[in-house]
Amino acid sequence: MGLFGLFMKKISGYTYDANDGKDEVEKVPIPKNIDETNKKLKDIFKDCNDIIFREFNVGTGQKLKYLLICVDGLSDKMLVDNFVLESLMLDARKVKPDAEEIKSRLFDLTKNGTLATTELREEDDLNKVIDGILSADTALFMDGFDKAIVIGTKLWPARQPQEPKSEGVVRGPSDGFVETLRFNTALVRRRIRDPKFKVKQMKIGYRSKTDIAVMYIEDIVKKDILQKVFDRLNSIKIDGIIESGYVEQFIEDDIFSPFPQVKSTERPDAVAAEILEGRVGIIVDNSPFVLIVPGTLIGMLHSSEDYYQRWIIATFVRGTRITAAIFSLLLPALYIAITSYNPDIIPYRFALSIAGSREGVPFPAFIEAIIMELSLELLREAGVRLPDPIGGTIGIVGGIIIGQAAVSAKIVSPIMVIIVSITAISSFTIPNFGLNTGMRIVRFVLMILAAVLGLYGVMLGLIALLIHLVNLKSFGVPYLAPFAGMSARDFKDSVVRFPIRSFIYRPEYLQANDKKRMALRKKR
Amino acid sequence: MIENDKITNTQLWIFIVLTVIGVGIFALPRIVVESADEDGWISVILGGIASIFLFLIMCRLVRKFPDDTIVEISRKVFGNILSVPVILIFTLYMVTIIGITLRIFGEVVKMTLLLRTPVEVIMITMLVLVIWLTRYGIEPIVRFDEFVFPLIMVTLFFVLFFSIPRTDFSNMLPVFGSSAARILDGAYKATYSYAGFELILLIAPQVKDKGKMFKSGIIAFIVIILTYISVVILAIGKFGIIDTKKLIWPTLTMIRSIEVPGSFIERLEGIVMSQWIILAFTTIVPISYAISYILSRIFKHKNFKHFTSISIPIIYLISLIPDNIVEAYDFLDKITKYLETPVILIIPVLLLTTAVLRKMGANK
Repeated sequence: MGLFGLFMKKISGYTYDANDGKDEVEKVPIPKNIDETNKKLKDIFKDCNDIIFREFNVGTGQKLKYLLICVDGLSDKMLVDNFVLESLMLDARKVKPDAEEIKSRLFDLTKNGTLATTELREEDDLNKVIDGILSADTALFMDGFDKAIVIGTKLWPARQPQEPKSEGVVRGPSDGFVETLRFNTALVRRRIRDPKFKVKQMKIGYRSKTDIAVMYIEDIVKKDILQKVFDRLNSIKIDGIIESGYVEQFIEDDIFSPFPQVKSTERPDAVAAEILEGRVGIIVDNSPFVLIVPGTLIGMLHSSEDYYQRWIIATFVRGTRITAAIFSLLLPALYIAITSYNPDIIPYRFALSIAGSREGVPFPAFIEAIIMELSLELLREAGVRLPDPIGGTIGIVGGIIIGQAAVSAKIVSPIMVIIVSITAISSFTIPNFGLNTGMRIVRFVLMILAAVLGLYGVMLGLIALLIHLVNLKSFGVPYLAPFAGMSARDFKDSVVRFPIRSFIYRPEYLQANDKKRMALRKKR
Repeated sequence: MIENDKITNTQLWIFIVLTVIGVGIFALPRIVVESADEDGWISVILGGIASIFLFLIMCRLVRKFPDDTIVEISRKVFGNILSVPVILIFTLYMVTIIGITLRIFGEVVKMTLLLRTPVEVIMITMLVLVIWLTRYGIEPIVRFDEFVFPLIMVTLFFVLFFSIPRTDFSNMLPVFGSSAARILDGAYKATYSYAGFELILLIAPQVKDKGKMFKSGIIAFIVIILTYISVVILAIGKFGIIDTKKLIWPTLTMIRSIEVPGSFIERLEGIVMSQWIILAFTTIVPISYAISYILSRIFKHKNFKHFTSISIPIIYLISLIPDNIVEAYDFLDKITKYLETPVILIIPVLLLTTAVLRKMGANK
């Protein structure tokens, strides 16, 4: 443990080491002379053929030199043509050029009076202008001014919100997050129209400059949790963030845990609901998976559909799902333990039938289980990687090989096939992909323990698992909440789901500032 | 890590219940029946009531010194030199009792779940987990207890409920058939099953509301006494006193004889024993924590974690002293006689009276 702990400290120490000097870039002034600016930028954007430089002249005398820069393919050319270039080149001519007077106010006039776009800002730092250009904005330089106008013209090839692939529901909205940060914030904002709902943006990655939006409701979320989120986000020093999985792995508490401590979801309704409970959502540009912190184990087993159905059904479904989770964790391990060490705990008829079905199988139960589990893992991996039309074939081939041929060839027993199938089906009911994967690893560990020490080994594994879980915290919130805290109030929304009208308070373990979420109802 | 966190009162009583109920429950019916025959259950009640009184004394004591453990208290009350034997006895008691508990645990697991595995393997694997949780400190231990408590209570209720069929309660008669001396002897011998609550002398500084400490203790003792009485009564009812005396672990035999009508599980033993491993774990971990904590206090070292790894080999060696189960129980008798009595009775009483006479500590 000591050595292991040291190793861990080293890694996490590296992660959270602030300031290695790469985020603070010095301010670069914009030259007053537009030709100089042009030259400088052409130099910077040398060999970047996707950058458009458009030089043009403005005014009746065509004496004012302008320079417009944007990225081909990222910027909205229609917008630039119709509302920037047209305004400047055509409409501006209609104004009488009272030379000197206008010239000194030219910048403001252009910014406030000519450009017919919603989003624009003024920048006097060349680096920030470049950032803007690369984030699909359009920069407008004017001769004689040491500042530039950055016009919001973001429009890049984007997917429209579609039904999420990973978390399907029957009842509930079918819109899902996409790769564009702005669409994603809009999807959540559409659900929470509260000025207290904040969308705070920052850029991470000194090369990729990925936009990250932190979403929370100011007067609900606990300040500590929010502070932790910002601290950890700010401490990420990396060249590029490609997907929200990067961020997740940088901000999680325990990198050695098999369990995900950050919930990721493709569903805007889930994010909105979690934010209303007092959690924090983190959207990373270019990723349809939005992170929600702090995560809890039971939260990973909840689906947003649980809240849309009536409570009796929801509770039943939840019970099924949690039973399935336990099955997927324990079933193979129990099979190994019982058949190899403690066959006495099952009825003797059944024990005999198991023994009978295993007749002719040359392997011990453990090897048998490992063969089956591994081939299942292979199938799963192959199914994910293969293109859809071939993917179906894998199912059929795998089904026949596993189900029929392996049994006829006496490599595995029929009971084992049943066990592995139930395990696989059970594991598919876990809504969170990260948890699903984590459980698979734990399952293998438990199987090994069962092979070595039987039921006692399984129990040891479970105790070890519990020790780990009890100590796991996500952003200061116990991972096992609400169970280890034993708050009767929070229990209403855990394994069971009470009627929505009984959720008068927000979960206690999140320690929200605004605890109450519902007015107390009058008795009818 | 999370060392400075406080224990709430709910957590405290759960902690006491799970610490006290553990390995002792298996032999309890035999031990009390050996002394008091049919009146064994009265011994259990008397032992429980005596334990409550002892717990009250300890609560009084620690409330006088709210920020101190037994080590500092005895140093303050008895002075540096006289406190040495007190602390020594306390430590020795902890170390021996955990060693023997571990041994009995290993033997029970070997007998019920892993017939051909050496008992050493069982004990070492258990110790590894014990070190792991102990190093995290008291608060995670308590949270662990809190999580497993409902599961264990459900199983316990299940076991007791399904033990009722085919029990002949006339085996309990005659009531008060044994002499008072024998009943008291049974009560005295039952104290091993009640041992564990003396940890309050160590963890009291971490309890949030010290005023309600005794109340938590009462709740804990009610749960414990009810469990023990039911176990003893059911064992006597099922086997009669003659067979109960012959069985090493009557409770275990009782679990084995349970038949749940129409259920898939043939014998509950495997399932129940698996749960009981957790129960034993929650008994061993607090004592292990107590040992490392007391050692860190003795050497005035801030971090108790360093002492966990040191104490583990000693515990292991002690657990290997008895050659077999019978010797283990003889050894346990000696611990009860020479170490437990001073620790839970003489030392607290002496400390409290001296403290009161010397007018030390806070008055409420």
